[in-house]
Amino acid sequence: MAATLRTRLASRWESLLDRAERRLPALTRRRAPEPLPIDLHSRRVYVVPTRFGLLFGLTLVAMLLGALNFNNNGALLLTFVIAGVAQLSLHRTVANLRGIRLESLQGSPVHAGDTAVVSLRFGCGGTARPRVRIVRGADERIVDLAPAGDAIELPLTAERRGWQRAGRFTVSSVHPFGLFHAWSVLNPDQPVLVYPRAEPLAPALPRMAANERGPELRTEGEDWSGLRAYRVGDAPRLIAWKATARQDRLLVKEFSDPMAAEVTLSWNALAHLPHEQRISRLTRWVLDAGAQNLAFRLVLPGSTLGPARGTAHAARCLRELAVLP
Amino acid sequence: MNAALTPLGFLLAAAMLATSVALHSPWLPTWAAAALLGVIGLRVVQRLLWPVRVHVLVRLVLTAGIAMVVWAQFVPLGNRAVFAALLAAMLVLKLVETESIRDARVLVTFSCFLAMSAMLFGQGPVQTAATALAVLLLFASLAELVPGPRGESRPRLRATLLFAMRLVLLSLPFAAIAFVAFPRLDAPLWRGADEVRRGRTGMSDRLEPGQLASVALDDTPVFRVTFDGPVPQPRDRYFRGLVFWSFDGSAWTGEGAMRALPPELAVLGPETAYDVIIDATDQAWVYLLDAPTRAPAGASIGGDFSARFSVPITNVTRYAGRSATAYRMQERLPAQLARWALRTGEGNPRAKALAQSWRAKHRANDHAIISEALAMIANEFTYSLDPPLLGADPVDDFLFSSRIGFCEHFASAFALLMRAAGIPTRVVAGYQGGYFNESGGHVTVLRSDAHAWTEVWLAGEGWRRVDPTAAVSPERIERGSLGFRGATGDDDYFATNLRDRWDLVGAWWTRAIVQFNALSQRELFARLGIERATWREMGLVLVAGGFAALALAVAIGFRPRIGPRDPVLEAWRRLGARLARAGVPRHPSEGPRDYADRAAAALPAQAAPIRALSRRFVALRYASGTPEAERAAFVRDARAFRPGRIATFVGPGAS
Repeated sequence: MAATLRTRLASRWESLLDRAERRLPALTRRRAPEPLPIDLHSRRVYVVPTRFGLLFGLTLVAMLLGALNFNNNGALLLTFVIAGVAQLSLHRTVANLRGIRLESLQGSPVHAGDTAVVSLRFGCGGTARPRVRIVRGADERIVDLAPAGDAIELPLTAERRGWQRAGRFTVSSVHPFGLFHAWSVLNPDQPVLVYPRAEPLAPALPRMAANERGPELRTEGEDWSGLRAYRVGDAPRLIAWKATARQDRLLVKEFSDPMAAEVTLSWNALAHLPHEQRISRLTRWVLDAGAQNLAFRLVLPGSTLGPARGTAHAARCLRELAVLP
Repeated sequence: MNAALTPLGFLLAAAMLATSVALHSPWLPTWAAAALLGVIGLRVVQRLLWPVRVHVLVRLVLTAGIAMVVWAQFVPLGNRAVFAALLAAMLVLKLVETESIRDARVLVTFSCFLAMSAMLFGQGPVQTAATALAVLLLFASLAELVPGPRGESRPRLRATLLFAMRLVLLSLPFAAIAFVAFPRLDAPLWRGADEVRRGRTGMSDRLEPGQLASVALDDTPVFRVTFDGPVPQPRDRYFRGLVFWSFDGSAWTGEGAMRALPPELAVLGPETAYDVIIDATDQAWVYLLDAPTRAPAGASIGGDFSARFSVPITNVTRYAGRSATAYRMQERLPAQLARWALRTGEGNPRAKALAQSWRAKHRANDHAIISEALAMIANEFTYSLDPPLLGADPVDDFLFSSRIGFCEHFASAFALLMRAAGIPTRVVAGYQGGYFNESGGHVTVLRSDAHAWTEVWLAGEGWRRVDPTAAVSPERIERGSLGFRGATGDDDYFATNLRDRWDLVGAWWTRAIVQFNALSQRELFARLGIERATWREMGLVLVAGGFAALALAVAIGFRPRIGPRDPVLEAWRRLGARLARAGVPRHPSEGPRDYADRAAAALPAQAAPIRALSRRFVALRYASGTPEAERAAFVRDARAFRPGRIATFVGPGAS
């Protein structure tokens, strides 16, 4: 009996929530992610008195009653002045949020388990926005947004690898007097890439076991194969300065290194490990290879990356690892 | 909100509280106000220099001390005083323990309440303006009590105050409409059971020479009188208040003892009608001209022609009076009353002996005795607002040794002499003179116009006013207290004019703001075409007008600014305005360099600084990444530059 009642109440509550969401989309906590940029227009900025605002209102009522009762017109006039300012502050509070635009959201690369820094770029429409509070979970930040806009950095704890949303956060303000609280819930549809966790105690790179030769041992001229255009991530010491001086673009010396071609990080070679640990170990190896500026090849199910060297290649490999099923 | 309370936030909250306490200083005893403000000051210094929580023992001792002081000192002053003093004391204590934003917010909110409660003790234009200052501080401190970014430390006092002032100004239209349209109560919801035992106008039911001295120099208006007909001369403007019958040798009491008797008056000439607006006095006495013939609504006239309201005047009140100036008052004096009016009390043997010698000399001629006494006073006495203290036989002391005093001394001594000589006499206290405001057409009576005179009963004439002060200092009676003290005069036109104006402001304020009540509201609505406005109609006007006013304020106040403000550009623009005043306006098509060249050519003495400033402006405006210090330096120099100043004094040959 009680159970059925509870179910009925619960379903009733659900339908109420549904209706509330249709009416006031940003009020409920179920708003679907939306694409950037997000404009805080007046329909999605909500405002209620703060607890202090309620106390203030009560005091105003007391002053009003006192002034009326003692027929004290001076006090009555000032009470209305205070009420007028309080009312104007309500508009001010809403106006402080209205017209803010979330222009972009960028996350720095991070490995699962670490804390990413998500940078939110807000546009302010040319008006300063003092005392804007940005809350995401337990993190909160109070900022004065400059008229030209500002970038705010929020920490984001990355739990799983892959594309992850920054999630729902609240932009709110009690400016100017703390009497009213205006807020809007944002759920930007802008994922941040989280790299897989790197295995902390992984075996050395597979190539290292065969030949203990680091890139620093290699001398210039050895296996020199030609010049190519500079790509982001190429080490500065590889730049062919003399050749570059003759041309109007950066040129990089390229070596064909038969030893480096042997560094192959293969998915299939790690068949004895569980799925996630395989990814984790490959991640570690990619990081190590990148740190040593080795040219390497990453073999994944269905694709092979490289051989190449440099951070750009490493980043691409990490991305592929991150989005593996 | 667990953010820290900033020093500026704390300072503003303390300033708000100090202002609210200071608003109560007109009625608070000086030591109490000084003590409260002192604790506020100490706390501010302590928190700024040594920011720790005040020890709980200190707070407990303060609390107990304040509770005892309030109990002992303020309970006799009535409920309102106890309430205000307690609230002020509690808030000062709250400031002592205020360490968080939350506390500070509660503190300023209740401080605002305290500031408002000060209006119950007086709602003149100055008091209201001072309370408005408290309102400004309220919002400035609230703005400072909103948690900001961590580690922010730039001082914003000026900007915060300007912001608060802007919002207060913007809210004025709304306040005005709400003030006019908000329904007033016809009768109070509750009555403060305020047993006021201390008047505010210095009038007391006990007259002891020396007591009125404290108010003799207080030029606060008590009431304003508008006469229907011609305005009586100052020497005829005696506003009767209290009538004293009993004299114990030093003090006059027994006010109101004969009130129960019916007033008997034979009117001999035309009557004068007038209208009085009186400030709250916390007393029930009604001040009426000379011999009132009709009691104002809500008041009654006693057998001694003193009038009283049934309740004390705790708010600005308006009443209509009607008085006779030529009359015979109580031609038959009952024997019991005559006996009462002849008692001379104890002591003062020399005065009594003197009076008896006069009686022996003049026999039954009462007029001669009165003339003799007035002549003595006129010839041998001096009028002064600052007389010496009197001894055990005050009248003897006054008549035979000090011979200096003001109205009370003269009235008291004269009355005793008359009684001792066998003439029934009573002492009347009230106001005399006042000053006529020509622009306003009304007579303003000040506290310093408080006066005491006597009435003697003569067979066949009834009670007749005799003012011994007029004998010694006709100036005081002819010209009023202000004129007597040289505060006014035909030679000082400016001062008179200024005072007239200020008095007019006060009169306007009283009539338009303070006096506005349910009745005037109905009249106003009737003039707007809404006869017999109901609460619903008033509510409609209130809501519609209020919304319109707020919309207007929002439209004016929150206009979005186009683009961010650039101080460099602003400084350059002002520089251009100054050059334009010096005769070189900038053409719209002219760039900064061309303009500077032209200005330099027109003002050769200033060529170098003009060119230098324009070069710096161009560099700052069009180059990127200029350091902030350089921009600030440019703004400073551009503001300091004056095209005319040096050009006038430094010729081409000067070094």
